[in-house]
Amino acid sequence: MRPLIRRLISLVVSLLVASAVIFAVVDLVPGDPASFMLGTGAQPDTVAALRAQMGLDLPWPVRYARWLGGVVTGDLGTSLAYKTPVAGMIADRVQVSLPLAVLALGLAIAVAFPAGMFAASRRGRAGDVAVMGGTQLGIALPNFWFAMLLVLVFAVRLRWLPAGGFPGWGHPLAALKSLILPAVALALPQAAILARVLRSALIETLGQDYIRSARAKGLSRGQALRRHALRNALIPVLTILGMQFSFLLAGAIIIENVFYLPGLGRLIFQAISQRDLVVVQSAVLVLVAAVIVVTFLVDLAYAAVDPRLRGR
Amino acid sequence: MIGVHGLSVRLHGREVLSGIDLPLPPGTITGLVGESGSGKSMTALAVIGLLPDGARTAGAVTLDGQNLLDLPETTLNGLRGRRIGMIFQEPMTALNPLMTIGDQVAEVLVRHQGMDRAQAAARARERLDRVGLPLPRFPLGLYPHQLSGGQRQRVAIAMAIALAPDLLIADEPTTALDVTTQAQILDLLRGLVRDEGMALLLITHDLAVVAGIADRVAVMQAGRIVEHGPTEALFRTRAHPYTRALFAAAAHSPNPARTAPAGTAILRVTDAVREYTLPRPTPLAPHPVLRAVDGVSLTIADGESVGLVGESGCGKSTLTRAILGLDRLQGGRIELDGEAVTDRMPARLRAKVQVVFQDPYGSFDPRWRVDRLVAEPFHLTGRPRDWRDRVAEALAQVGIPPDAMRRHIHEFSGGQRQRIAIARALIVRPRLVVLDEAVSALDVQVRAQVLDLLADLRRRHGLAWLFISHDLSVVRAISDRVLVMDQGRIVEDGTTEQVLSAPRHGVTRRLVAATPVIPAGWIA
Repeated sequence: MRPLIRRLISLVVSLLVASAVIFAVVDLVPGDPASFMLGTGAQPDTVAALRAQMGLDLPWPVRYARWLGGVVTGDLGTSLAYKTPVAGMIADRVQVSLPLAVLALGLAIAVAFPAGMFAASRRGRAGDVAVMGGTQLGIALPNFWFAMLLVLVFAVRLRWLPAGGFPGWGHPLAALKSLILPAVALALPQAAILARVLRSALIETLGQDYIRSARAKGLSRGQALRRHALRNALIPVLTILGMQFSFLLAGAIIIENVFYLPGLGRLIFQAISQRDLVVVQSAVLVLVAAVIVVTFLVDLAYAAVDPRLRGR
Repeated sequence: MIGVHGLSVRLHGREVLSGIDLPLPPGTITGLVGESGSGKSMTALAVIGLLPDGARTAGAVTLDGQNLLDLPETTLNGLRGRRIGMIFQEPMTALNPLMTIGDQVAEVLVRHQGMDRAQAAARARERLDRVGLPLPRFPLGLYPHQLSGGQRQRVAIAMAIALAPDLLIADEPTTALDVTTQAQILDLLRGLVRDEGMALLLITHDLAVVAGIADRVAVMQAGRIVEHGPTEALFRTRAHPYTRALFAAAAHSPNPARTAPAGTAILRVTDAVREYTLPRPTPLAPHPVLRAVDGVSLTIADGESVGLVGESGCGKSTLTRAILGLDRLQGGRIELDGEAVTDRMPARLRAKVQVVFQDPYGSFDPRWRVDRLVAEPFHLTGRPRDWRDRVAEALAQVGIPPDAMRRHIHEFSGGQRQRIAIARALIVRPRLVVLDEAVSALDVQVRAQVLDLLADLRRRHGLAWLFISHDLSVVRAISDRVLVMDQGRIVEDGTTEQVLSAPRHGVTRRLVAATPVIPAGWIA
């Protein structure tokens, strides 16, 4: 129990530090939101009045405390560009990005585990070479190109799935259908990376003494791989999985553009180009928080997998 | 009954085993001895059908009249673990670290007899009791990292004998263990053979172990069995020249031309205390403290050779680290040549003590060439202009040709690596060399060469040795004086002859009693 509490404390501390860093960076970025909102021809006293109204003239500790207090109560401020609450905007986008990331990662795992295990069990033979060649291709292919290919085949020609857009979760089936092609496009490189990591971790594990012990017990190669090697190879795989999930949450911007999906990545991109600092700040905070929480969960998963890491 | 008949194995076109004949009758212990690379382990792997990929076999390994070499893999999977069990040298890595010991033993029962979990667990409990891991200290839910090396080897044995196989193969099962643990494991194996009537094939490089336990012995050299017979008869006659050479090497004791120790002390340890804080048992309890070194005092004279012995966990390694200035003491002091040893002592002082570790391979950077490896200690003294000549000279002293300088460490055998490690320790001309189990991993003939080399170097340079080992025969061969350590204290200190022939302390007696010896009459 104690190590869990210690991890939780470090989780909270990380979140605080991250929020301070994000606040500082956004605060330091040149360009005053007030003068940006009023345009280049604005009078200096009008700008000053707006600054006062927005609280930008207050000392930074006050601004940070206000911002943090808002964040804790779910008030992320108001978008400079759209004049709507940022919390609502981000919540709308998370509804797309989170299911998309989970779906993509699930697909990647479903493909990578069998592929990695197959390749490791046939190390150096034709099956291994074929799988490894496939993963090379999966990493090398630009995913927007693959996405366009998917659209051409499954949307334009076969008409099984929509080519883009998101109908909202009011229509669950339609919403899910619209996420399938983007999820596949996102999953391909991730599956390839994951399969390669799993293969090399498995090959290293298969050389360990306890695998020889397992074989001496009468386990076949396959049984030794599944029962003894797989779990021991999981630690590096979990590390990669955690990183991939964090990336998928916000890194899907190209795919979101290809499929016209209102996701987090597009929101951030638009906010940056419009200098909507409130949105940028909040969205980045949400993403950083997600990464920290995922890292925390990966840590817990390590301990679940490896008894030697418990109690540390 | 299992037997090996005319077994030959080719690996990548090279014949590694030729014409091996080895009956393995039930209730009999067969010792298989020979130097490393002679094919002992390869023979074992051929019998259990786990040869490396690409191995081509000829001849037969028979069980119930069928040739195992002809059986398909699926049939062999059904035999391994049920009819033939095997344990390996390295107990620290032989168990799956993520699985409880109960599950690992039960897996054999589930795999071969389709027992349900409860049945398998009950039987696993019984087998763990049999190998000396009873409740309440050893519940089934323990993980391997919670056990010592000897205890892990017992779990490995429980796994191998869970289904009372016809044959148990033990490949150097005690080489990684200290002498008292070795004696316990050998006792256990002997008892299992007696009670369960199985055959035991015991592979070892230690002739004294074989003398104490085996009914029959086979001597291997270069992939062949050169001599085979009942243990006592074979030990007495030693018909084959290779057998004679092996025995000579095992009994080898370097020329005892011992330099009379000068009066001055090169190392003086006074009331040394080294403690470790352990994790709190409950959140508010104070940290428990483990006193690994508990008020140790000792002196090593210039040019003296001192052995330090003790069971695993007695504090030898901790004391060694303190002497090398790697760890800070909590109490007492250590002086090297009159100056205080600390973890921040000046390089000039650090150069006066050098160390050679057990695993020569692990102590070298595999990407460096030998000249750079050997010259490394020069960072303590400044690299002289003639450093290449000095490296060549140091290598020549340990019998490594100078063309080795541009090669990498993986190109050398275990014995050569240990010689290179010694050359590295000597390059800065230290006054004291610490040898931490430096010959334990070497087989008898290489060990004899290295011991000779050490004695010769000492004679020529007047070095002092601190020789740390759990192997009393090695300590006897090379030290003037022996210190015995137990629970962080030095419990006995005297001349080698005195301590090992008339041990006074209980631990020393236990160590001496546990050390396997070839009966004196056999090799007279």
